[in-house]
Amino acid sequence: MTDNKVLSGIVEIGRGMATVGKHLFRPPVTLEYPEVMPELSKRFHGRLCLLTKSSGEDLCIGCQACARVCPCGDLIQIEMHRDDKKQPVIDRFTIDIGRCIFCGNCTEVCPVDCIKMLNDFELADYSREALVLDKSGLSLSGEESDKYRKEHGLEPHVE
Amino acid sequence: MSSENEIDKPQEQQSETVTPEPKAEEQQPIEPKEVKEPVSAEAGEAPEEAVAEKPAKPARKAVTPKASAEEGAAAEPSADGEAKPKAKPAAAAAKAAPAKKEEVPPPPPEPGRYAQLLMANGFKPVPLGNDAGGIEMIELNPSELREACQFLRDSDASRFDLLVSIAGVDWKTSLQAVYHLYSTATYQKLAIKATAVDDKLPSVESVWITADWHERETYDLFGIIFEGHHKLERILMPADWIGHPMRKDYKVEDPRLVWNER
Amino acid sequence: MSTTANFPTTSQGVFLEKDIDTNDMVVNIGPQHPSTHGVLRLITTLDGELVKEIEPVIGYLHRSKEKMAESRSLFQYQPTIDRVEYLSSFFDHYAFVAALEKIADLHVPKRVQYIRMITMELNRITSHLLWFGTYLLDLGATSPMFYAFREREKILSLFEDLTGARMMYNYYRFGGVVADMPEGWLDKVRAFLDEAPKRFDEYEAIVSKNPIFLDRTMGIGIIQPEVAIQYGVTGPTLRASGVNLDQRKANPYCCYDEVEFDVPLGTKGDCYDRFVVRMQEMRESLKIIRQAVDNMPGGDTADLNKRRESGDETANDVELQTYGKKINLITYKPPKGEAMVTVESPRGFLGCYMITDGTPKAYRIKWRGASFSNLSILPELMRGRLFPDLMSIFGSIDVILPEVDR
Ligand code: SF4
Ligand code: SF4
Repeated sequence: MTDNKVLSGIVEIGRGMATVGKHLFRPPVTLEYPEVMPELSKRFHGRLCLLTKSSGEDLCIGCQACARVCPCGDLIQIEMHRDDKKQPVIDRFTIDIGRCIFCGNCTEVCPVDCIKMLNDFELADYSREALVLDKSGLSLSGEESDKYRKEHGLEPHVE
Repeated sequence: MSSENEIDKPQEQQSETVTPEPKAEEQQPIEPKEVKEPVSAEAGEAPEEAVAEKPAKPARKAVTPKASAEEGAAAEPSADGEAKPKAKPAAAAAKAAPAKKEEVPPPPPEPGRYAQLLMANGFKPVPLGNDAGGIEMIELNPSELREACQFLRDSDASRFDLLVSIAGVDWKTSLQAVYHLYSTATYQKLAIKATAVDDKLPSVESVWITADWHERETYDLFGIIFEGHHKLERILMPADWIGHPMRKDYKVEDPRLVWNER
Repeated sequence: MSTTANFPTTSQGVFLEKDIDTNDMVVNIGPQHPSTHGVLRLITTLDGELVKEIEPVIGYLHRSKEKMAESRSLFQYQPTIDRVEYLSSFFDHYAFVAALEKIADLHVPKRVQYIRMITMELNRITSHLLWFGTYLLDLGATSPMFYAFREREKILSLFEDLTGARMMYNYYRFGGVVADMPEGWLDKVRAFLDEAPKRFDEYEAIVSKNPIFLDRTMGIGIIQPEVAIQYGVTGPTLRASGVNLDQRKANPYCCYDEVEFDVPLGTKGDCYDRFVVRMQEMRESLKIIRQAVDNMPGGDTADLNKRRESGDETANDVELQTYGKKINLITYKPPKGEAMVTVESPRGFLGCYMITDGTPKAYRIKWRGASFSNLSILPELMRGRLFPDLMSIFGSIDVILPEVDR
């Protein structure tokens, strides 16, 4: 009985080792990360950004929808007023990326597809304040926005 | 990071809950109403009920500040300050209830399968109809809760041997515990509701061992005292926590959370 | 218990019997301990190597998920529930979303149900794979974890394609899902389905007959079915004791009544049975996914889009949409009502009890975590057992602490 157990033990451990050993000859499945960047999907929940019109002007209409659905309280802060022609002007638009949980709620409710997510995931910084992004830090340029819309199958912006 | 929000949220939320309060109160009178229906006739019941209901409310009011005062002086001023404004909408809602009843008489729910079974065996369950998912709900008097649970577990016709969860609910005027049962033999589900009298309910630990932790959790978060539980202690919150956080009138006044202010 | 074994006595008589303290010893394990899979504290009373009493102390991960629901609208609250049970958050979302769908009587298109079913089953595999890796790590085997994570990684990439996130998906919506599958996603799933069984065979080759593994799991931590039910134990842990209770079969939700699968059952209820049941469950999940992929209403998104472009009216059927009826997520006010939805999560009954009162917020949300009840059986299992068995037993009931504390 003991003999059998010892024998089967050796066989089984040998079988396990052989399985493990096979992996020596397989290509590695890991990525050399900082040198090789992973290919992320288009839907990746990365850093938030604000798309702009093709001309580079603000697309956001200051409707506060994104701020209202954010689960993290006052993380999106928007101040706006309307100019003489009743057009919205965004005075201040800050997002505290440090507290964002990248849930994507805000991107989903925006009526003009303005707030979107990039594939950028390297967000570490030296201070918390640096993670509070303001409008200039968030906005993409006109060309970048057009490119983004094209890649992500959004309707091109029309005046 | 987000935890900071989570903790200071309840403070903001306190002011927000004041607005929906009347709405929630409307819902409240409906339940005791159903309690009466099988017993007394429809007509003439409404005024009587409004009277009968009032003493029940101050009863809990009197208990709550006392309970929190025992646990710590810090909670005392808030409990006192709150009892008064809260009593008013409660009374108003009770007055409004009879008028509302004439408009929409709620159809009395038919006793379901398990309500009938309990009735046939000498218990007095109050059928509450089905919930949105089709689970039968019954309300039981706390005095017969344990016996009824034991019966439901052992009877061949029900065999509710698995206690899925105990959910406390603070209806502002009373505390309620909702027991969700499941039968591993027939795959049926049942929800039992019991309204705490003076924040007290009998423990069903002797029926299902798992009730031990579930009751501790409900005690921890709602302050329902389960009489007969062998060791009713806090389970999720730290042992020195003040107050019962899931109550609607709970305010974060713990001095240890001050650093959390943003 | 006094030990009167023959201790070596020197000329000074140092090792006298009375010098050996035979009182009980209290050992505190955790809260920060790698084998507790999170932050769990176990106060163990030991008598020599025997565990006399063990008391789990929980609550270190309490994030007040239920309280958070009171201050957030339903849609605002939804992303945070990923964290209830973060290894299989699709199940949290399903319970939450289904509870509201029942209260508000929202129609869910068939295609959405199938997508949900595929994602949930894939999620079950990731969860079991993680359990497999960490369980063997607890028992001292290092390499299986890397293999398990390799497969898990593949599924997570699939999820990333679909939802944009690897763990916190936030993908289901009331009456639908955020977006349809990306084109070609089903083919990727098929490719995974073809490969996975080979990998599972590999795992079994490494461990399931390994004598060390067998010694540490067979006949250890036996749970009697009646005891398990008394303690509210559900899921694979209960099924390993031979109780045929799988809500996917017993109370079919989603579209589980349209797929064929078996419910693996154990016989003895020991750690080894729990291992076997989970390994087989992964294969059953593959079966479910394959059927769902093949019978997906509308097929791959690319086909569907082509049909839509060519003006095929049937492709715009409501059953093929991503939403039954789109609701305004910002202002949505559910009707009054209440519902309890329990789903068969990888650990057992995961329940969401929701009471709504006509405001955008839920009046009460209660989470029933499977691990919460499953963990409560640990003291019973450990009483009188050897201390080294602790990690073997504790690991085998697959507790995940965020779900215990919520
Ligand atoms: S991704 Fe989520 S957490 Fe971040 S800003 Fe948008 S809504 Fe808020
Ligand atoms: S939802 Fe869109 S348009 Fe509205 S405030 Fe936010 S970013 Fe601007």
